[in-house]
Amino acid sequence: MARVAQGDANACRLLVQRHLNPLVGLAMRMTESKSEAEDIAQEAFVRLWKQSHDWQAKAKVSTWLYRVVHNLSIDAIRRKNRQTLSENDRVQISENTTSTQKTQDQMLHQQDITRQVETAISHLPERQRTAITLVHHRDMSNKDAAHVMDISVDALESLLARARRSLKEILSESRKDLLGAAS
Amino acid sequence: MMPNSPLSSKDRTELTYLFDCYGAYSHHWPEEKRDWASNLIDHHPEAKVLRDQALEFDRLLDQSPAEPDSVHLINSILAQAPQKKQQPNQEQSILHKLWPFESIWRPISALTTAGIFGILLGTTSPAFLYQQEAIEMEIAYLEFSLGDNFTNNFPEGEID
Repeated sequence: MARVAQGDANACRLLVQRHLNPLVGLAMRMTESKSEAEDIAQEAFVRLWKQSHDWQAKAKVSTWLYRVVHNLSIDAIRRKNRQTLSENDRVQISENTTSTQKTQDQMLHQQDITRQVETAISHLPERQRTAITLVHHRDMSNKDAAHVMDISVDALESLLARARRSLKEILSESRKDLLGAAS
Repeated sequence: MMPNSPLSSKDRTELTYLFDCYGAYSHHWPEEKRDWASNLIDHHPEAKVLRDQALEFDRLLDQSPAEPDSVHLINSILAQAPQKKQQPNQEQSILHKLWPFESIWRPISALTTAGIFGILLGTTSPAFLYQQEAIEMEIAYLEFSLGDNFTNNFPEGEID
């Protein structure tokens, strides 16, 4: 962060490259809108730039960024009616989260799995979505994830357990098919 | 611990809760539980079955990593990043010591303008000023010599 504060372009670029996509992903999971998620991630970095001169060495950049994105996403969710999620954004979620595929058939099948899992996750309450994203998809420790969400570790574990249980139920019908394809 | 021995009820409950919360990847588990859970999995087939079930579900979740490609944002974000300050050279730092307030060009331009104005005034105005002064001196001399306005009111009386 000292290098960022001194205006080291390489340090800034590395930081953005490392964290941008995961941050947009978290915000997108929370707000269910890609454009809003991108705005939130940008705003988080702008705040980081402003904060860089007074940065305290003990703070972890990634946790700080996730916390800002989390809080901004909560603000965004409060502002809008979540029921107005456009179909366009849902499609964007699926399109932008596909991983590499070898053949077209595999690609289509992979997209289908991704879409189903993403749709299942989108049906979870916002806090459960956030918890599962931070711990499972961002490999964040339970303490850091709890810090980002401003809750206790016990509360985080409760959210995680309920999220996984709900996802299992939602995906139960197509689970065998999905698991067969995923393995 | 006996290999292949059944899990205790307490261990089963705690292990199930661990998988329910954090899944099967050991790097997701709380640090203080890793050794304990790994040990159970290594020594109890039942624990391994529980782990494998959780692993299936984790792999399913992995299919949706939620990392959209947002590289198009990088340049606009970096445009707002802190910029490196230019190091002032020696000449600039001396000027800065002489005039630490704002741009050095303000006082320099003010001094230059005043200097130019002074030179112009000095080279153009003296002819007129000297001429006027010479005339005034000449008039005073003549007045004194010819006595046109000479006041003849001395205390001793008029001088003839």
